[in-house]
Amino acid sequence: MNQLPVFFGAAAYEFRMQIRRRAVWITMILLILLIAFALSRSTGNFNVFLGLNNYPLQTIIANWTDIINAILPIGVGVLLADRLPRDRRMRVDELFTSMPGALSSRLMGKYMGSMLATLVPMFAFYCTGIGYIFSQVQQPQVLWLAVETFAAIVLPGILFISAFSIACPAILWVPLYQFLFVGYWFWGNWLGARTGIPTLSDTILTPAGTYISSGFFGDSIFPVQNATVWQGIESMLLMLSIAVFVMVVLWSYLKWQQARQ
Amino acid sequence: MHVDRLRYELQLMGKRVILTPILVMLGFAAFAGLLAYLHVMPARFLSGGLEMILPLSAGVIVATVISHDPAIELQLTMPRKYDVTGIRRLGLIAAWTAIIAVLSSFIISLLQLTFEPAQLKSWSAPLQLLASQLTWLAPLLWLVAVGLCLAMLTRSRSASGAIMCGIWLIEILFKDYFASTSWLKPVFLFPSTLTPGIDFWLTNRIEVIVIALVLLPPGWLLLRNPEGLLKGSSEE
Repeated sequence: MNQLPVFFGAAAYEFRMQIRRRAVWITMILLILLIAFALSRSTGNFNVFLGLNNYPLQTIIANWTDIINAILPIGVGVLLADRLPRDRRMRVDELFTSMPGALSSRLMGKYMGSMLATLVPMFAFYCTGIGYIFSQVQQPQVLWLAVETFAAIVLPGILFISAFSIACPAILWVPLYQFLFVGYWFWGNWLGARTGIPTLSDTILTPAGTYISSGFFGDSIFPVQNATVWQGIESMLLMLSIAVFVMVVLWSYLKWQQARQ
Repeated sequence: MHVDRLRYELQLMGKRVILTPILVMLGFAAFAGLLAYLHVMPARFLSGGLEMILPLSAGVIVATVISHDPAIELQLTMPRKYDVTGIRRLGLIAAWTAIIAVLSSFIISLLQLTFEPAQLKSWSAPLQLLASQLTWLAPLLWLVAVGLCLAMLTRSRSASGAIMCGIWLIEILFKDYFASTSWLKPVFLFPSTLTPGIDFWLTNRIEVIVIALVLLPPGWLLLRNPEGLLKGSSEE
């Protein structure tokens, strides 16, 4: 059986299910309001809009993308964590097993569909900020830069955390995964090395896009400020390959579980 | 009878609720051991575990347990109201987390790894130990109460968990702003670890506890809305 329609069917269905969830919109809107509040009170490098005329356009757009990518991925990660256990809870997993569609296609459809749907509110808020920057600077390259920074800084990290958020609840209790994930997000992206605590925040394995933002666009709001383009590429490739690896491990685990039944 | 009910509720919630706070503190203890090996003083790190992670875990667990019961339709037909059952579950989770926190706090104190806020440094040792329990008690009560209200308002365990996690991160990233803005001081949850030098630590702890206690009655009232509970279970 051709698995491509299965993948697209599963992705489309998961997308529709996720985007219609009230929880997705409530969570993302409240997190966006928290960011808006923080922005309105910040005079430091967290507030990109204060220095629109003082910095190069590339720095401004990268800074805005960093801000989006600093907090909103928490919402994405937490909201995706219940997608796999939901199949078990609604008792549809066994029904799916009896169907001709392969597990791998359904799993990838679930991963892509639910991730893209959860990204919609995040992308809408991102576009609002880009629209404001465009209205102030009136330069058409804002739009191209906006697509470039979103694709480079946000997407690799989101693919990385989404893979973990879909996979980990296969063995972890959802609330346990949720608060471990937010703890990881702070420890692995924000905690400075000067605390003496071993951390991943100064390595290329930073899903907030530290090395990508600094390496490609010369600016980052995260602890690491100076990175090369190669480090940015390495960071991106590392996160994408780990995301693929995690999904393969999840597929193998679920296959093994099915074989035991 | 009451003891039987409590035991039954614990069995219903499962080992996960019992094991989670224990595993959190064991994890912190193991990492603190690594820090000691690396010659990094683990006192502040352990304080972070007690003040920031343990209460967050309790808040997320409360939001999960309270907003979803696999037999909610059956529960709502029983003479005993679900709000009583819900509050009992909330109390059990908070009490169990508090027991783990007290034990951890005493062990940390015995190992002389306590991370004292500046305001307590001039106090006598027994008073210090007693007052330092407010480090975890205030955020625990606040996050449990907020977890209850959010779970009932959003009717979603994922949404309430994510919002609490967002608040948690904002509190850390903007700690200086929280510590210096008068109207935000009463909701500054983690001053013992993040800004131990502040001179309003005790006032802050009392204010955070009062807000938590004020939030509990509305949460309890929201629990008395069967329609909301049923909608929540079907929307997830």
